[in-house]
Amino acid sequence: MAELTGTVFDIQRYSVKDGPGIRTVVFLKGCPLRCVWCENPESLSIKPQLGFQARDCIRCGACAEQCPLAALDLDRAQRVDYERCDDCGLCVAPCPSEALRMIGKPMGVAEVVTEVLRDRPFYERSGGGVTLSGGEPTMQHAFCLALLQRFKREGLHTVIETSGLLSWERLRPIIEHVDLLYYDLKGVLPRAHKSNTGVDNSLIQENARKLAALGKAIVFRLVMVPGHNADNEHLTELDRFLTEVSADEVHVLPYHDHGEAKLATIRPRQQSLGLQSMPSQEAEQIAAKLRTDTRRVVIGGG
Amino acid sequence: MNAQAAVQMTEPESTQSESTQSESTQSESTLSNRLSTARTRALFERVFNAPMEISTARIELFTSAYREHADRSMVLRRALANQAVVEQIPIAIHDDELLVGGMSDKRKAALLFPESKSEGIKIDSRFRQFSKKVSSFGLSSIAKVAAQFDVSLRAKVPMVPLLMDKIYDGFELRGSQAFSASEPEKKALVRDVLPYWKSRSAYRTYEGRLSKEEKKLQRVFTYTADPQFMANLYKPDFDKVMRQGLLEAIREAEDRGKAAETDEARDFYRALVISSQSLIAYSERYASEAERLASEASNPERRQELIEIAATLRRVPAHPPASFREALQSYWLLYLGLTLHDGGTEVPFARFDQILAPYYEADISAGTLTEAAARELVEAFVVKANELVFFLENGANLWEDGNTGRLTLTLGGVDAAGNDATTPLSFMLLDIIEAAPLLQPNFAVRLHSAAPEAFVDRVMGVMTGGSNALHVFNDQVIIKGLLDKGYSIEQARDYIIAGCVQPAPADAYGSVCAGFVNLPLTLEQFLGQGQKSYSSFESFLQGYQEHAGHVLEQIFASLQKVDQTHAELLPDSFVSLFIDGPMEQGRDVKNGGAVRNQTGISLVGFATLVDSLAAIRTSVFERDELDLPRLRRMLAHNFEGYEAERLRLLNKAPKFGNDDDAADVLAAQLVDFFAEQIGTYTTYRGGPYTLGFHSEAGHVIYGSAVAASADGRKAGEPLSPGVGPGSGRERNGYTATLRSLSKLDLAKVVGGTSSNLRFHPRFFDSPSQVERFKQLISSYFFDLGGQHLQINVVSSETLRDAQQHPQRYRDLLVRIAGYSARFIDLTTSTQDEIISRTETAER
Repeated sequence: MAELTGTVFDIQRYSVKDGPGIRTVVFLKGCPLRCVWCENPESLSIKPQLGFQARDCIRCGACAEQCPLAALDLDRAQRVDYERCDDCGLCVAPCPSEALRMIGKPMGVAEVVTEVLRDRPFYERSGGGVTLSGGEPTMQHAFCLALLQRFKREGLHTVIETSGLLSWERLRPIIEHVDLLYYDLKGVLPRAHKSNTGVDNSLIQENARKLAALGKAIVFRLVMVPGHNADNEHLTELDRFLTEVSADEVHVLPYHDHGEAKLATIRPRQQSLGLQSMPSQEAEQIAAKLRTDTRRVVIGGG
Repeated sequence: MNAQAAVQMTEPESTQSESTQSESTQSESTLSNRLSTARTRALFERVFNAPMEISTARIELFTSAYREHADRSMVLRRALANQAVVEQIPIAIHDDELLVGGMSDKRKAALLFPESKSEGIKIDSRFRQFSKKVSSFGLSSIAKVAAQFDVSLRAKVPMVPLLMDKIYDGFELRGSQAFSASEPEKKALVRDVLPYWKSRSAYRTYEGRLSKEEKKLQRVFTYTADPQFMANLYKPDFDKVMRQGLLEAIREAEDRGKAAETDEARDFYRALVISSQSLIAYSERYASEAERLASEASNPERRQELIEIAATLRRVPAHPPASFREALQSYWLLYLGLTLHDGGTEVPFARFDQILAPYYEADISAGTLTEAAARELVEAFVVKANELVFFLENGANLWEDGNTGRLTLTLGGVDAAGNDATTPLSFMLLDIIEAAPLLQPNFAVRLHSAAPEAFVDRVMGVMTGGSNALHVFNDQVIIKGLLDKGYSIEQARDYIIAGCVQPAPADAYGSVCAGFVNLPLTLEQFLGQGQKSYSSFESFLQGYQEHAGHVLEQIFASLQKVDQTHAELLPDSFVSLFIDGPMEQGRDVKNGGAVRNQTGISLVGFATLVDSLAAIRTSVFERDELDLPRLRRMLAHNFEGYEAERLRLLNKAPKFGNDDDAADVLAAQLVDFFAEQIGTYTTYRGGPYTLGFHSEAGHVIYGSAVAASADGRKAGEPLSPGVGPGSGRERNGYTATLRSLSKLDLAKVVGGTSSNLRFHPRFFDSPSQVERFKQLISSYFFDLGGQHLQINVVSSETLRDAQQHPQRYRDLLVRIAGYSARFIDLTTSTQDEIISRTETAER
């Protein structure tokens, strides 16, 4: 039987804010949400895709020679004509400066596990382990599940960072191999959620309630985006919901415009939000509003 | 940033050098410090704001006595010359001092030691920086061969600015290492002193003894043996000398002298008596000065202090110390004695927390000392250390960029019996590090797996706190390495760090840093040797190794001549007191009197070599993209017209530091190769050579003399620092970097390694992040076998530079809530936000 493969867009070692201890974060490609503020726009599509960083290009033209679709043009500011490009990636190897690169590569389960195990001594000392992130890692459900099973067999501590947007039947087997869930809430007001992310939030909330009922260890992560999900009305509802699911740990993640810089490097898919990063005082005010005696609220992770 | 940072831990980002100085520290008129008393705060301010001056008093006294005693044997002649210095050099006790003694009456005076080398002492020449044809240095060989394929090359060899050409600056014109001198002093120097030593210096003598081929070595090898630089990197046994007291040492030397059977031994014992007596006399002079000041003091408290100072000086170092205060004063005077006698710029402070703890504990339990009083005394000692400045000869001042000496104080670790050696003074010193931006000492912390948690936590707090003031060493690996070199378990366990990062075991004499090899230049020479073609990378590598082996053979042959010259011209009786052997054998350390001997050399640009070889393997032998003649042409052209090829070498070939076996296995093989080569040689005094990979700022200087290299580095750019990856070459996170390092058998590199990680200050924004950093180090040291680590918590200034020159900062990570990002990938507005927060944190 051929080994299961998935599309991985990054493996980040020495991560210290994505769960306890020192961790490796495996980023799986693909996401069912379309948050207008998305900070990882290159992760949305489930397929490997071509990225281009103009800063690094030396205009040598090696890419254009390789392209069977004539999708590369040195006279274009962004070089790549995405109308023509089919993300085949033939141009990447000849590019000397790495201005062109494939975002996402197919990897087998064993290959990912081998990479993750390289830092085992660091996990063991620090109580760390591996975190699956994305995109939405459960989009590649079978691959995600196979990875988690292998990680647990290796005795690693596992974290999954999820939006919770999948059926309970599919979520249930995943969480059996997860020690800690990082559960992203993009907001709790249905209308705003729909307009901010393109999807309905009832399944997300329902799953959160079920997870809470099971007594799973959950950290709720709230990306706070000014003008979108951070006003008083949102916060009051958030507070209510967090109480309902007995949230005892919450990470407030103030909006950063990191994703904006990436937009110019990938196939256009998303409009620029044109927002500034949230000032730290504002994040602190939000955290203070959500903090209770039984609910630890921190800014950022870790 | 703490200026101490600078000593050797930080990498100035713009130059990728390992060492820099926060110049602002010295130019600011007031420094913030949180030392514990108004007295030590004031002393600190005065020392830091004092100008750096040349004092010619030492060399005038020395030269005239040396000439006078021309008929004596050298060991005696030098003892008599040094006696004149120690007994007559002007002295001063400064206001409010508790511990006294200095190199002269000037507060921050550098003495000159032209008997070792006079060439680097220049008074009037001007700062000049040339652009020179690279071919004037190592590239000539490559260019010559490449020109056979491409005649246009002869005219096209690129111009690069060469740092080496800055070396002819006069000493008042040397930027952060400028010294002032009075006109009469300059005149005396030019008229009387320098002309006398010009033909007589040790350097001039051994240079005359070098063969033609050995002389050519000076392109690839830098001798550091001369006292202006770093001859005294060994472990001086302060504890033994303090406990014995100089009077007792004198009695022993006299008795042995009477029984001695040779003139050589009799003269040595006589010299030992003279140099010990002169240091007692030096102490007595200070005592008299204290008494004089006491008699004039209007403030009764100060009068009492001066009376106590005088009483202390009347007792030590002649007698064993009877109190903590006496021990500190004795320690300081003995330290000055070593520095005055043998001119070392880098005499180590050794294990301060070990040596002084018994006195501290006895006084505390007897109730004669309070913790606060002890703290004030230790602060006074540390502030005193900052009076010590050294005139590094031209060239050396660039190598040691920004700081004139690395006076290393070793903390923590295990004792000779293998038990944890942490004392209350270890903690006190850590507190003091955080209280003031100290240039000296250089704090080296030894860690072992059973170190007390509280101590390790405190060390981590200081490390991550942004002071960049200390670095850490792994006992396990270093002790194993020293055992493998034949030291006893006690000698190995009792090692100190000397100079920058070099372990020095107990009881052994010889500099653990006698020279630096420009490693990438050896590859450049090999590439330039000719048109031989190689059928495989293995045969190419073997060819290179044969060349490198030949270079090392010549280096060791020349080092024999250096040590022989030092034995003849610079024997030293006083240093001989601090090492086991000379007293028993009747022979000074330089002539092999020590029980054990050692010499270390350091290879600079290790990762540049590894990456270059890996790129040659990939491009020439595996992918067939290049042949060697074409590579030579590209290198000789400094990649001009070959940018795509350069980027392929840079980006598409494996690089050390990424947990990539394609580079790391080669690196490990090279470590084994060099360690084995070096292991086959024996020093002039009959000890082992040790291999090191550390470079201070030398990888910048050496880089300036190396042509473009096959790893994609352009001509003149810095080489890789220490044992670490080339700047910006590590891209997989620090666990990957540390795993790469751990694939090297670092116990074989017991001559010392330096590895540097840099962090944004916000990285350590919570106790849990400091905890994780501790675990990172624990894993690296105790699971993976790392040897040394220092971190650089990056400043806003650096981040601004990163904005301007993103290509130099590809490895700079910042953590943003929930994910991490490379700083250079952030939008300008986020970068600005981080910078402004950094500035806030720095205020």
